[in-house]
Amino acid sequence: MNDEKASTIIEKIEEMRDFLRIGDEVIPFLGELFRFIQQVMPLMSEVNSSFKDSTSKLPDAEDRISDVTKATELATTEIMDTLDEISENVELLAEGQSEEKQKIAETINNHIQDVLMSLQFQDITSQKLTHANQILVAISKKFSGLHLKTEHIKLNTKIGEKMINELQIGINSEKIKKDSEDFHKETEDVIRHEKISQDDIDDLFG
Amino acid sequence: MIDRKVLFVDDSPTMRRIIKNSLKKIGFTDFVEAEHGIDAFEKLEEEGDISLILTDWNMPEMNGEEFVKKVRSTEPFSKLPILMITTRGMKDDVITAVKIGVNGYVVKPFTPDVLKMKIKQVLEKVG
Repeated sequence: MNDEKASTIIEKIEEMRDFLRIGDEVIPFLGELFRFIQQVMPLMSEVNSSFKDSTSKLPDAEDRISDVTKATELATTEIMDTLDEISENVELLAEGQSEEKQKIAETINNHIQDVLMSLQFQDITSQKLTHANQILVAISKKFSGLHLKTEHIKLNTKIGEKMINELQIGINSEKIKKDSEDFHKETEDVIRHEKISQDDIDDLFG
Repeated sequence: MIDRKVLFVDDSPTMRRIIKNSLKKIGFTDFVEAEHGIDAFEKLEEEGDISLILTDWNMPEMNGEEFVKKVRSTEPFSKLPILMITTRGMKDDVITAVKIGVNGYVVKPFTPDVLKMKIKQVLEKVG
């Protein structure tokens, strides 16, 4: 064996030793990572399951918020119309009356103006609801994106497929199923899918 | 009677009605109303003699911030007095409003007296 060969062998041995050193450090880390994944997996299943439940209900929640805004806007307009009419009538009644009665009419009209001003709450509440709505839409988009990414990983990588299958097993577990059912029960009264007219209600009552 | 034509911009019909009532109470008689920034800018160009703008912030199509920026960067409207009337009451919002060139700021809900005072301050400041 010449010197050149010997030094190559020594170099290889040193490389192997370095590799084993890295291995010594990496293996416990991998073990920890594995244990972490085992612990997180059921949690991930719940999260994934909740994603599905939540995203399916978000568009309904969004519609509901828009409906509330429209309904309050309409009701507020009606209240304003009525108040304006009352105000005009009070002015008509006060015409040609004593100073005392005219003062009373003025007080009534001032009160009417105060009520009209307080109707700003409609716009303020609508804007708060719109804000909440925007947050819901943003969350919905994030959820959908995450769901798509999960599908992509499942379809394109073997490890991904295995992991998603594990998650799927988690989702199908009894606890997750029960949680999902509970979530559905909690929200079904709030978010209904079918609208019914008064005529249809009357028909149902015969 | 105050001899100024006021443009007020708000997407809420309720708010437009309240602002209109308040302006009448203050003494303004000449108004133009718009639903959002795009509508408002069109009215600004059509009317040609608007001398005070009251605008909301959160609106569809073009919001108040975008509208103010557009007004400030377009002659001959760039120096018009602008009062913002909004539900946005955070410090950062007010700082943004100052930066983009808003002259006065009122947080909803307001009273006609507050509106009168703010309009007076804006007109004294800008003219």
